[in-house]
Amino acid sequence: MEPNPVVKGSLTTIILKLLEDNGRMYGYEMTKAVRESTANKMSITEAALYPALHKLVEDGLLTTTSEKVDGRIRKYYALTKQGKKETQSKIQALKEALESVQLILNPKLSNG
Amino acid sequence: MDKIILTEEQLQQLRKFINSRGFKDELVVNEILDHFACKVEEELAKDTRIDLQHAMQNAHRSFGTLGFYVIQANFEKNMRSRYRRLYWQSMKSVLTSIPYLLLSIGLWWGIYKFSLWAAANDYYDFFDQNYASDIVMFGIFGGMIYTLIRYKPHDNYYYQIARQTSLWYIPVWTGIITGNNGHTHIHAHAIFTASVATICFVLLVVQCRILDAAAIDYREFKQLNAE
Repeated sequence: MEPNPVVKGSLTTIILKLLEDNGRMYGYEMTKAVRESTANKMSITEAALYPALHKLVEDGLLTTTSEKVDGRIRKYYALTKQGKKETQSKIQALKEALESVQLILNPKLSNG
Repeated sequence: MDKIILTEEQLQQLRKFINSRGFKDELVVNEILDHFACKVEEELAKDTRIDLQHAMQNAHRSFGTLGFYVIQANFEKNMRSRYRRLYWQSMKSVLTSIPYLLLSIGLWWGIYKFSLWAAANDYYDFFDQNYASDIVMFGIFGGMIYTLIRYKPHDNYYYQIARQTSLWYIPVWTGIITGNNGHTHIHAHAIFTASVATICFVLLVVQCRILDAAAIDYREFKQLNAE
């Protein structure tokens, strides 16, 4: 599956939204959640996911904890206080951007 | 689709597969393992006819052309950022700690005075270098050897990254190159020697703190792995 440029551009917001809904998640779980919630129409590649997670941790929006699950160590990501605040503004910004794109793709006919 | 959970023997085969792709360090392997194992489990659940070897190959292919490198590179970036952040936090805490501040000032003053005293008494070594410079150089080398001996048992990926983050060896070479003063500019040389010694002392303390943090990270990883 080719990486979707729209997903790539809004990956940070997607990650924040997933964590807002699910509390904490691990890397693979996020890729699976995107695939399943979009009926396989969208996917996140590891090459895009891990740098984005790193950037979010670096910016203080995410925190990590490790746990042993099924015989291996799993790293969970969760929102920090700052991350929770940032999520709302990022979702709002993405919604506005998508609405603007809609206006361009579906212009209303007007008397002119 | 039934959920499949890999057994310890199967996980061991996954570790070997990761090793065979050039990722040998246990910390890096551990970082890759969970994501890879989840994919392998999904492959096995999707098609029950394929064996583990095929599932591993399919799962590896799905990582793209860079393979496991993506996870390894980001793990390294994470650790580098972590130790760099800790480095400057430690630096700040050392520079604002009264005992360390007094110790640093005392060291500076002691080396400065000793340098002037050595110059006044014509205590210069075979290379025409003030004895104070010799003491500082030996001190710096002693510090380097001390960290090597103290942290050698923790020689792992965390330690290597933490060590690269420490910058204290830079003034070491500055000190050595410019240490030779001859018999002129005695005061300037004394100030310089004392400053190099003090900077190296502070940097050594900070480096030890970072390496201690790396040792703790490694210990926690081992404990978690042993659970």
